[in-house]
Amino acid sequence: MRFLSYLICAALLVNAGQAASKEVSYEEIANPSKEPQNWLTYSGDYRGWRHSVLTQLNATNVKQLGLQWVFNDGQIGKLEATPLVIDGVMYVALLNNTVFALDARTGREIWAYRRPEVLRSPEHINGPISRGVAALGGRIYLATLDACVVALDAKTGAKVWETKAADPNHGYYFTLAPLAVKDKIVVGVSGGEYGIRGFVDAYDAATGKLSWRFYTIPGPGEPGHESWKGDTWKTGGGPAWMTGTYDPDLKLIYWGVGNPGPNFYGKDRDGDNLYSNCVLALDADTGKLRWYFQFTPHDVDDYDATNVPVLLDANVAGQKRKLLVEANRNGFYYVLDREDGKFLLAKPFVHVTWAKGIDPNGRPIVSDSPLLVGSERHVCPGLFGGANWPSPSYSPETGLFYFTSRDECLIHLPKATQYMAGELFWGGDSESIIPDDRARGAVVALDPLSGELKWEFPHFSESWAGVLTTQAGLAFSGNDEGYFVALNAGTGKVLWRSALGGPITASPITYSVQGKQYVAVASRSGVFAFSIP
Amino acid sequence: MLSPRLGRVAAALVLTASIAMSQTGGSADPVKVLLITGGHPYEEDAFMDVFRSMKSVSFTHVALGGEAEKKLKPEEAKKYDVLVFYDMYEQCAPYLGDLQFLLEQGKGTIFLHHALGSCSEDLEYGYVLGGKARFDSEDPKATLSHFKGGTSYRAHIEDPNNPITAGMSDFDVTDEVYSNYFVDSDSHVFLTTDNPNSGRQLAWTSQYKKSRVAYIQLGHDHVTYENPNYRRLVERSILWVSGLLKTPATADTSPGEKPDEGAKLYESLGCGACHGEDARGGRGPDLRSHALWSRSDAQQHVFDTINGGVKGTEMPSFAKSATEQDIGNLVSFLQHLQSDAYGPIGGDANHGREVFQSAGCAGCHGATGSGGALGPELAAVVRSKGLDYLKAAIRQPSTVPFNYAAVSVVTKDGKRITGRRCNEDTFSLQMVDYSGNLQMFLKDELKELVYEKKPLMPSYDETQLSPQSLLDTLAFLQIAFDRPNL
Repeated sequence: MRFLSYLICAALLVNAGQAASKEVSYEEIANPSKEPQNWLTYSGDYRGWRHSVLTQLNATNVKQLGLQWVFNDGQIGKLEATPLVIDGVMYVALLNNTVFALDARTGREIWAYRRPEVLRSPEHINGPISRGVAALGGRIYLATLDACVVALDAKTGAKVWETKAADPNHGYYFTLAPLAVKDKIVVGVSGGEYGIRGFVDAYDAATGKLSWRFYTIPGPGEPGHESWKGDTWKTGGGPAWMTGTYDPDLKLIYWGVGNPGPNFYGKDRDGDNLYSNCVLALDADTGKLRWYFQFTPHDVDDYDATNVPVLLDANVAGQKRKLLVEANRNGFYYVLDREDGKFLLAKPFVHVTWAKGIDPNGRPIVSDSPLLVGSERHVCPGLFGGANWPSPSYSPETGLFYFTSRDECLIHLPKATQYMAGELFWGGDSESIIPDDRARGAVVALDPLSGELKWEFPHFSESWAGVLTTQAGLAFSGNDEGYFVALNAGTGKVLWRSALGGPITASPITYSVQGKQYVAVASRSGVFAFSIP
Repeated sequence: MLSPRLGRVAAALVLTASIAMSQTGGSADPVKVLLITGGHPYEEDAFMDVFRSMKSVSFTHVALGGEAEKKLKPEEAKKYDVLVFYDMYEQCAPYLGDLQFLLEQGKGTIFLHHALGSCSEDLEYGYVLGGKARFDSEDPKATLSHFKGGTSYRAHIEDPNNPITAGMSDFDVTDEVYSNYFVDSDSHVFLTTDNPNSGRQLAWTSQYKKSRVAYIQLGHDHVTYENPNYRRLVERSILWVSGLLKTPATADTSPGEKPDEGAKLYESLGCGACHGEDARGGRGPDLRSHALWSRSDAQQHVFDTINGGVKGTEMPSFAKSATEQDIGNLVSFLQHLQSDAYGPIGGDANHGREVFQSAGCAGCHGATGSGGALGPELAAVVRSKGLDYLKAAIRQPSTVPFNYAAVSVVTKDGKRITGRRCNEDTFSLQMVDYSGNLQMFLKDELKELVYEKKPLMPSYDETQLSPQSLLDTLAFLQIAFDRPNL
């Protein structure tokens, strides 16, 4: 009865500080402009815009941005997470399957989830990272390095359920932030460098039961299976390691698929190797494939098509169209019709040598022999791509499409490789063409319909930072030197910068608590939050 | 060769081996089953294989419509220990009287799958079965049950303490399911599913007159017949209604006589490569864990796992590299290893579960101790500080962790909020109020901040929680801690 007496003294309260008891609904995620104070899903919305309608911070006062707090749990390493913010509480996944709930005004820890290491995972070539969590109902969802999906109580961090998706000993793991769609938690698996058979999974958010699975490599009897020779489909890769986007009206999930396996050696797997390097349009309720578009058929350069697919509506040739745009890792910017996957446009945005162009059907016109120097394949862009996973942004205020590009050529050294379960399955190696040559990064703003360059902000270093834009005409990004920058979204001019003590390999967000707007991003040194006084 | 480390363990085990050996009995005669079908088609050969595969059962198969009715006459029925109905039959009048008589005498009876729809016009038959389905009726207004073939679902062990399912885990089934049927409130449901195409109750036990009765919804065709979990359910149900299955279940396999031989085998078979030299686990699970050995069928389970391997995992079958006797020795070795490592607490977990609710523990720590807004996950407490700490803290919560202190604040606008401190620094406070809401304050928003002297965690002295109740609670938690989902 003692507990009851505690309950009685808890009167009905109106929040005085910042009270959080919110249960995020699907409708709220679908309508982010109704609550711009929050950041409810990886890209800020289902369209992949990473854009906020908050306008307190503007081109004039952004100079006064000052550090409010830094959070680091003591683990040092590359952080790639996008935090979520729900009514003043930030939820962020850091290294080695940890999740933290933080007071978003102060960065103080409210709870921590640290996953006991129950299974040995393969060596993670990108580090033990996570790109973040999803929120739905009163729960926070993490996809783990040991290939499980875990639901946590948003108030306590206590585990509600966990479901194992695949065997981590065979090279399956998760790094992405899950996507909460309706009553499902959608994830895609990593492991394209381990000869996995990739998949996109949807789990029932309430129970953790698998609702559907779409294998990115079709099995015998399924359409597309003929694009693989012999048994090569079994180790065909096709990871789906980045958070996709969603169109609530079309009820389609757009999800990128990565490289075929082995990465560099393609001789044993003649054919287009579907659905590697595709964007998939999947029915959100059933996981059935509605359409696909393959950017790089029979890839041998590791051109994963895992960049966030951005959804916009625009007039094309006098006709209103629902579009999907993406700056692909293969160096071309693409515009597709997202209702049927029809190819509309492709335009190179970095130095490209692997293809001479893209034909009217969207199929690349592949360059021939000059690429091969002996057994070496000299290719631009190199395996890290002209653009990679750091988030793009679309601003309806400027009408421009933003992303981080990288100009770099590499030598790929293809080599026949025997598949061994759980072992790396690169099919060769890669090296720099000129040993001291550096990749050059830039924040790029394109006209999304023509792919025409509007402006470019070149970094001295390469960059693995995404771009955030706001309705007040700001664009935020960063680079490997550790600079976090605010740019004029219309011109690319630098308005503000701060050095964060380590490479920024994550995508920024903005949120507001009690009327004050914050900008937050992770660098190697932790999660940083800024606001004006 | 024995490693020095295992050698010492094995030597110690020899001394205790004789005590353990005396606890296992010899094998009994098979249970005699009268298997009754009729009125519904089924894959006969595949179905009979289910019963042929049962080591503890011999059976006679008869069909309704002549033969079965004869066998159900009391004089004939004496020859059988258990009746198993796999029929869907409507001409029940000729034998219902005999069946009633047999049930009054205490004849254990099992009903499988479509038997739920037998004798659908006879109300009493529903009480015999503990449930009833009606798939067809001349009355157009009658409420009908539904069936749906090829439904894949997860069968959930509703009652882990039921002797029939003891030691089983949730399993997947693809089968015809039923819905919209009636289950008697006195039936004890031990298997359920959340699949919306099926009724929730998949299997239950009940008592009719002097007889034990069990019903199992599973079992439409060979897909289920061949499911080892199904076979196990049916076999153990037969044993249970016949009164042979005790709680906890008696072991089906005697461990080998020589744990030291088992220790040698542990090394020569290379078990340590995955499970660790000392069986603490590595790539494979910890073989000393309480979760494993607290199963009522632990010996059998470990034996089967070694003998048959685990499909879909890296655990191979050792049937070819070791004799049954060898594997028995190995089981014995492992069993002793665990009892040294984790002795069972020894309380009554069922009573502990009740205490955990009634003493108010669950209010803060969650129904199974997995943690709530105000109380931590108790398994985490034990993991980090040990069981003795938990015991002491229940009696006298002397050291309250920083993030579980009780605090009250009064805001500048006069609102008072009390709860648990999650975190605090020079300038800010993060807390959970008693409604479970997170509350975050800058201190300059507060008029008052009070650290409550009394910890949130009440102390339980021996008058409030007897030593036995404490033991029982810990036994309950021990089982909860070992659950893989915690």
